[in-house]
Amino acid sequence: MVWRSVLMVTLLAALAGCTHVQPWERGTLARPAMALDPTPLQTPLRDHVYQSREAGAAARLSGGGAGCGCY
Amino acid sequence: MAEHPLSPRAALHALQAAALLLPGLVPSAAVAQSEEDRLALQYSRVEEGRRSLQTVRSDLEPLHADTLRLSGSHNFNDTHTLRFAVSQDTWSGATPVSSAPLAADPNRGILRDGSGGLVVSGASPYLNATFPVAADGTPLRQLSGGTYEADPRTVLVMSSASPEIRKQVDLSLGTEVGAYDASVGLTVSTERDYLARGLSASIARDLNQQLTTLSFGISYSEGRIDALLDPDALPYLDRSVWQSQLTRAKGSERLSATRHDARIELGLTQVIDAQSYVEVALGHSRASGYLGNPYKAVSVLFAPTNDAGVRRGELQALMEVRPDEQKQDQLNLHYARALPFNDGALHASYAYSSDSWDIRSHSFELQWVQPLGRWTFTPHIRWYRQQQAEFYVGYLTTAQAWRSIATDELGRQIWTPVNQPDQHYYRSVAGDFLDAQGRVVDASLLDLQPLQRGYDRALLPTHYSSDHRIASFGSVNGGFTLSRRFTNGLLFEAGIDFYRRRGGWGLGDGENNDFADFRFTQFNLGLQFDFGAHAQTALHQHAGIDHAQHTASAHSSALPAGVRFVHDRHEVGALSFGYQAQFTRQGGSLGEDATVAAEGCDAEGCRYAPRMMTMQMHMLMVNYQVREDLNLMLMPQYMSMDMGLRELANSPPPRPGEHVHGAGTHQSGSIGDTVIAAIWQPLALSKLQVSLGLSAPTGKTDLEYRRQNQSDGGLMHFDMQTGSGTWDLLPTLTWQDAFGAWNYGAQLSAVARLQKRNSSGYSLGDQWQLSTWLSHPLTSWLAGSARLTHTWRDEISGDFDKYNARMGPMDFPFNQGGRYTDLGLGLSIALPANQHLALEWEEPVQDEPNGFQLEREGQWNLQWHLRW
Repeated sequence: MVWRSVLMVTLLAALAGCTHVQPWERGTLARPAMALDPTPLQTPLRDHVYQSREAGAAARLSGGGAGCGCY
Repeated sequence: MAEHPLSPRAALHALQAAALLLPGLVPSAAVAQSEEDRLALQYSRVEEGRRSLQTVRSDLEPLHADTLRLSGSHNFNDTHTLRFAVSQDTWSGATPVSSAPLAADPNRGILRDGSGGLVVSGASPYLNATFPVAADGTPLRQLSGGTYEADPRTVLVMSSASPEIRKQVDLSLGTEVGAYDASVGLTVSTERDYLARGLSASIARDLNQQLTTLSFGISYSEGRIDALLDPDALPYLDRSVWQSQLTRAKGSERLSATRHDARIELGLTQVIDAQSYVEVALGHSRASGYLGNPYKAVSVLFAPTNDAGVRRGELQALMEVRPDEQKQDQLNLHYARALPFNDGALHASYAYSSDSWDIRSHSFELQWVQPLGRWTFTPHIRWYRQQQAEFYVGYLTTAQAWRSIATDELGRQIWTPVNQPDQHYYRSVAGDFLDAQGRVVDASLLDLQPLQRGYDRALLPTHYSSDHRIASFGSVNGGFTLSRRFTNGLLFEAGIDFYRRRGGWGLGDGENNDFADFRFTQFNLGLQFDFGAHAQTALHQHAGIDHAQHTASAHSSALPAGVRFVHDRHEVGALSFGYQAQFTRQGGSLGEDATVAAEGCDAEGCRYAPRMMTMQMHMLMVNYQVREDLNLMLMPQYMSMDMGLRELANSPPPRPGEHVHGAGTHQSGSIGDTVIAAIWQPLALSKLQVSLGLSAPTGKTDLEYRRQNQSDGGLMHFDMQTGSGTWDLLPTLTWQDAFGAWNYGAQLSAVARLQKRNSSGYSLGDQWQLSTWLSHPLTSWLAGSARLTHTWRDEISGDFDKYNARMGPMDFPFNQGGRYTDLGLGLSIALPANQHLALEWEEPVQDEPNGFQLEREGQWNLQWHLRW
């Protein structure tokens, strides 16, 4: 699984060379709606609740996915 | 116990965002998320639905949790960014401790007739039963007439928890190191039974003319578990596996253990074209040490095989055992694409995880961010599925007896004298007792009893857990976030999320666990102050303010932190915000133990007395200038308390059926009462302010201790309730003036209860307070203050009309109120960006409490104002 993922990342990195967006063409990417986390206030609260109830929620990389959870 | 709290994801996001800085553009993109000074205050509430107990209806309060979170970031010299988050969770309510065959009736509370039939009154998990089992292991119910009916159903076994509090602090510092953005962080999370401390570091750099960002992060944390087991569970809970980690404590046993979590992650963000980008992250984590949950039990059905069709089954409970290592691999994909209308965007995320416990999970989420003018509407929907851990079981069945008479290699029963357990005698088929040499002995002279042998652990699996969170299940959740951005950098956000779990939606051939299905709803409210955006708009908006008003406000900016209901006059329509906190501690002695025991309660005397108490109050103040002479204020509060008890010397015997929650420390917390106030500042008399507040009973007066020792915990003590429960009127009269560089003032305030009884049967005493103060500038930005306060508070009228354990003086209305004098010393600091911070220590000078009360040891007051 890990190696498949690494392969994917490598492929994506290779993809990087194929497209070029000039600085003056990046206005759309700079929209608030395009932010990496468009709801930064909500995300940690929601993730904490999922992590307390799901074993795989650690896949969001936002916590240890460990502990027994209080709920 | 809560989760491992480390959150390197946020730090990585911030770094990736920083690295993606787009030259020549308005920094309103992801970049701005991390680079501007900002402060956010959030409140969140999670409410679970009622769990099904199949044949009985539980009236246990479903689980609910309140979270208060303050977070922010500050940028130094454009090169260093400090981020912080402080949060506090308070949770209580019903929680599953195990699952068991329904035929064993494991939820055996005290039953009473409710309107909807038989009701379980409180949770009484009772994992100990004997019942018939079919040859194939299916539990049976005996019907009248001696026949049996198969009952293969499994049911959750529920217990309930008194309020518990978790606090967490996260700090991180980001900086530029050459072409790299680096960040280090630390996290501490603490609660009654769990302390976690973690460190993290991450680094990111952009390549390919900032179209590609690579990031790398590591984190490590250590958790210390100190879990006091439920004393009610001790009689039936087999703890033998963890014996070496258990110690006697507080009438129960304490499990002490540690765990370690390490994580490594690699991320890549790639711009695909002018409309879209993709984010890929790979993670690997390893947890080791004690990875179980000390409060969860596994039900084991001991059913030895026999020749008859029906076996005798005995249900017992064992503490769960999980492997001491868990390795997990994770993959996250995130694709964002701009939508062609109104600056919207669609985000699609997928996450996969696979771990050494055989749990695999997939989650897929869609988020549509749609700006609508100053509003942004963001609906989301998420699907999640997981495969169970290889050691998950609803309950275990084993073909052996829980206890049986030991036999030797010849199959003869072994008997021992009661006083000499090491001496073995063997019972022959004929019923004779033989010694080791084979000689017949006279059993009547030896006082023999059969030697009992426990179950053989080797016949059970090595690891087992009935925690339904590692079962096979799926879930769907969805909701939306609505935010409103104001021109001056203020953001208001509200969100809701509905979640539904179904056992049948799981991955793989997992064991059916539909019995554990539940729903919950999460609400979030947030307020964010963006200082960068504010500074820009402030240049335009505040340019025309009357300078006389600024001068007038100098009075308030030197106010001691403990003074409330005083407000600067702003331009009409202006919003301002404040935060006020109070931290109070009580301790010392109530008097001689014998006197307290005899006089502090009723005729039956007191058994316990409070040893210490702390109270924390956090209040948000939102202020709106309606007219030139009129302000409106909205003040929601969050309260939390701790109280420690001790047993009084020579205390009377327990009352029949008394709930003994003992000499430990107990916590409570929730949203407190909400005050709405109007402050009138007559234009002709600007030194005077008159305010009238109305306090709405949004706090709690029905918080209860958990059921314990088969008796109801009852209502928590008066001081542990987070609200008054009544509508209250809060008038104040304030006078402020200046003499040279000195500022001085006085305030008379009152709290009048508008109702005689709250829903729990009592009302808190009315209160009067007179406060006078003097302040003087120490530097251009710092002022010192001194304040003298005298408070009169009545005792409580009425009394609890529901069960309260009446354990000590704190449970009796006449031990409330009194007359108190305090001297406050404070500092007041003027901060940049129209902020003002004041801190004050109040030292009790004289106490004349009614009845028996802890001594007040002082109070910190903190007040922060932001004129927005």
